[in-house]
Amino acid sequence: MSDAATVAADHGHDGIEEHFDDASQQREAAAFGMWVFLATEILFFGVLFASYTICRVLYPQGFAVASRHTDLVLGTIETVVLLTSSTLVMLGLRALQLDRRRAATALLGSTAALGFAFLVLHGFEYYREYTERLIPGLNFHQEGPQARAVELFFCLYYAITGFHSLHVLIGATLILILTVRVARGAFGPRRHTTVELTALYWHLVDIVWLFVFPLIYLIGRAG
Amino acid sequence: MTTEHADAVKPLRHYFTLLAALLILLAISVGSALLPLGPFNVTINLAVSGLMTYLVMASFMHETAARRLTWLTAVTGFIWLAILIGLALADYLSRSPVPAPWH
Amino acid sequence: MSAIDTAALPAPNFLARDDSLIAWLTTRDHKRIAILYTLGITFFFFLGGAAATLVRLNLIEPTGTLLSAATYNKSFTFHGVVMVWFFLLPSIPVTLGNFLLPLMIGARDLAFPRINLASWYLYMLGGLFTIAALLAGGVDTGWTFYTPFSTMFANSNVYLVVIGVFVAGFSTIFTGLNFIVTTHTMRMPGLTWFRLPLFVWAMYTVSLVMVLATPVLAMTLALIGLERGAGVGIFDPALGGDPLLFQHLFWFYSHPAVYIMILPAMGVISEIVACFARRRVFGYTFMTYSMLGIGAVGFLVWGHHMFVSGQSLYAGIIFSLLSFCVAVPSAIKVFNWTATLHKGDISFDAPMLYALGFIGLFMFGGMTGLILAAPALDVPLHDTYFVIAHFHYVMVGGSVMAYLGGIHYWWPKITGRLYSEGWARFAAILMFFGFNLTFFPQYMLGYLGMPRRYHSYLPEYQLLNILSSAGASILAVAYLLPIAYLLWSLRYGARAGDNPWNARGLEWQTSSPPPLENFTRRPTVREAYAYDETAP
Repeated sequence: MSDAATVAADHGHDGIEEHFDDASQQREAAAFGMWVFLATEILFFGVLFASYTICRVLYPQGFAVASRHTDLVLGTIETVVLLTSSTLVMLGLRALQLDRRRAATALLGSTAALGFAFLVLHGFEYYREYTERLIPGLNFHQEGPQARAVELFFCLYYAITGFHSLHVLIGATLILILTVRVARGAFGPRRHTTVELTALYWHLVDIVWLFVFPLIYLIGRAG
Repeated sequence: MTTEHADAVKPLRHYFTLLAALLILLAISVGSALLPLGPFNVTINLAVSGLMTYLVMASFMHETAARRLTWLTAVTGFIWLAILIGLALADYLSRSPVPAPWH
Repeated sequence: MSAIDTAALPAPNFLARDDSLIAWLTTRDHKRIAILYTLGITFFFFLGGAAATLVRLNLIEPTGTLLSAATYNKSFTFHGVVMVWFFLLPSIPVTLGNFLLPLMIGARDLAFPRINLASWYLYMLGGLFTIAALLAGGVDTGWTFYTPFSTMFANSNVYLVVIGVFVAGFSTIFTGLNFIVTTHTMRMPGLTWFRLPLFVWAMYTVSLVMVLATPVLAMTLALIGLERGAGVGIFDPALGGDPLLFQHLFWFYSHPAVYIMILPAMGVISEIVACFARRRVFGYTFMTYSMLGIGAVGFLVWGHHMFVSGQSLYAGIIFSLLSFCVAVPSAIKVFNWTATLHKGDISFDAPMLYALGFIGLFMFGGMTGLILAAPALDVPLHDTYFVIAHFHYVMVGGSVMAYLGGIHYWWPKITGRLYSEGWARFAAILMFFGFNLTFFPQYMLGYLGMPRRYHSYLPEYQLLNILSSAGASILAVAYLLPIAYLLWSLRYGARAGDNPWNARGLEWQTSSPPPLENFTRRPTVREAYAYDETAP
């Protein structure tokens, strides 16, 4: 039966928004919301993976030739950078849970730094491809029977790595902002949902790269 | 739903093991790519990527006291991507090539 | 909102508090955001309708002398883009869904009120870009943006439209995300999933479709921009790319998009039919699983838009079979609504008239969808007026009528006023008549072979075209009438009580309009549609 008690929640200044019943509901909603957003990102990038798959099925040799033009060393280093950054962000969260503010600041700051390092490395890649005339729409010029497929590959390469790098930039910037806020004591063992969710986003950026890397850099490398 | 500070904090060792595992898997992926294994190259590469993804997600989901719902959300994204790729490929793989008259 | 005499309404309600423009534009109240959206939706509906008016006026003459071919192409493109992305897709979810979802689950607001407000700003920003494209001279690609025309040959206003739709797409994703999280985490205690009203199920299901489909559209549009602007193209045959790849990507989104348009309508109809037949919805569980089934299977059928495109025959057969399958859950719903009406205590108030119109017209349109789903029949019918008639039956005869039915049903709850029932019934009946006169001849035109998107046609099609345009003029009047009498009711309409329809559902357990926090007393949870119990 309905009772006469008001259902308006008065949370005062405890950090819980008015429309939530309690902190647990708020946290659950925030975390679930981020996961739903990550699912949308899978489909967003998925279009590029689908396009890649179809084009590769149509032009397997062309893609192998094209992949050999990418920089395997830089690509591998970039993968190591992102994997390490994912680990560091997890360690940073752990430090927050243990109330070790300075460690958390250092770890999160390093995560952001690695993110920016990834972008710099990628910049070197783009520059090298520019000098080798591999940029469609700009200066693409390749010889050989597979030239058209190589151009198609590089169209996909720039679309995929371009959108991925944009997400790396956004993620690294967000983590940098969080690093500053952590240093100022905005988060602690009981309040770190924002950091957790941003770290989730960072993991997604990492996971996308884990699929981009073999598909772009590792075709036709044998022999 | 557990509250924030109820998550057990894992020892440092756990994270170094995770990173080591990921780097070893990366080495396997790159190393196997240098060997002429035909169609198995891409299979191994993608399997390794999948495994690395699982490790990252499982390790992180542990951090947020995972629920079935979050797993379902992530898996649904991948399944829907599989639908896009699968049915589109069904078209491309079953087309009979119609050469232009001058070929 | 001085048009509403808020002082006469029960205080404190969400309309009366802080009336300034700034308060409205910075609100986080889902009810106010729903009203902000309703203003936008209504504006774009009439904008899209104006484009349709140009099209139908031009088609009175076989030679199509009213508009040049180029202007005609821009008119139907603008009509399609505006109606699909700025009216139909958002309509019920962002107006009725935003307003009612928290109320129906006993919550104080959605999970993410700021994201809700952001979604409105994104919607308006997207609309602004689209209008900018119109002012810059318009786009003539058709709302489907097929390549290579859109990437190579169409004029450069394509960028503006593509950006507009891209931005609006994120508005949709935010809304869907909000609804999913809200439904999972904020139902009041005791409100289990199978006690939820079917409208909530509809909002939840449509949100799943929104978040899974719309990102694909976003990237596909971005790829159009990239190919056009940077020469980074995967649809370009000169590079070995495939224009059909665009169609696969586009329709992967755009077919589920039509289910985004119809699922909320189905939710509205379930609510109205139950209330005005005074009966539980027949087969509640089947209704929920049918909606989920439509949402899921709807992702598997997109190739039926591509039967004659060069897609492989075998893929066509698979898509055709799956398209037949997706009709099954829709049919189950029509059967269940009919069974709900059977031996019901039916009253023919305006919402019920809209619902009855929906059931008939949606069924008719759906069956013609099955005709098109058969590849052999699609070969002569593709790109003819048969297709146009089919989708207008389900989208206009279906979704728009359900939207208006819902607006009328919940108008007393939202505004605290009663509209004029006489005028409302008249408008509903006029609309049904005008709609059929507009679109039934188009089935015949399609069967006879008149192609779509042509600004002129063979003289033997003229009579049917004139009938269609005449019907459109009646339809226009029927759409303008509600604007008039609904606005009138805001100031002069009788005060509505908490539950003027004696309906079930948590939203009727609070005042009309509701207070800011939705409920001053905790509502009572009971089984959905308890119409056989006497007290609400």
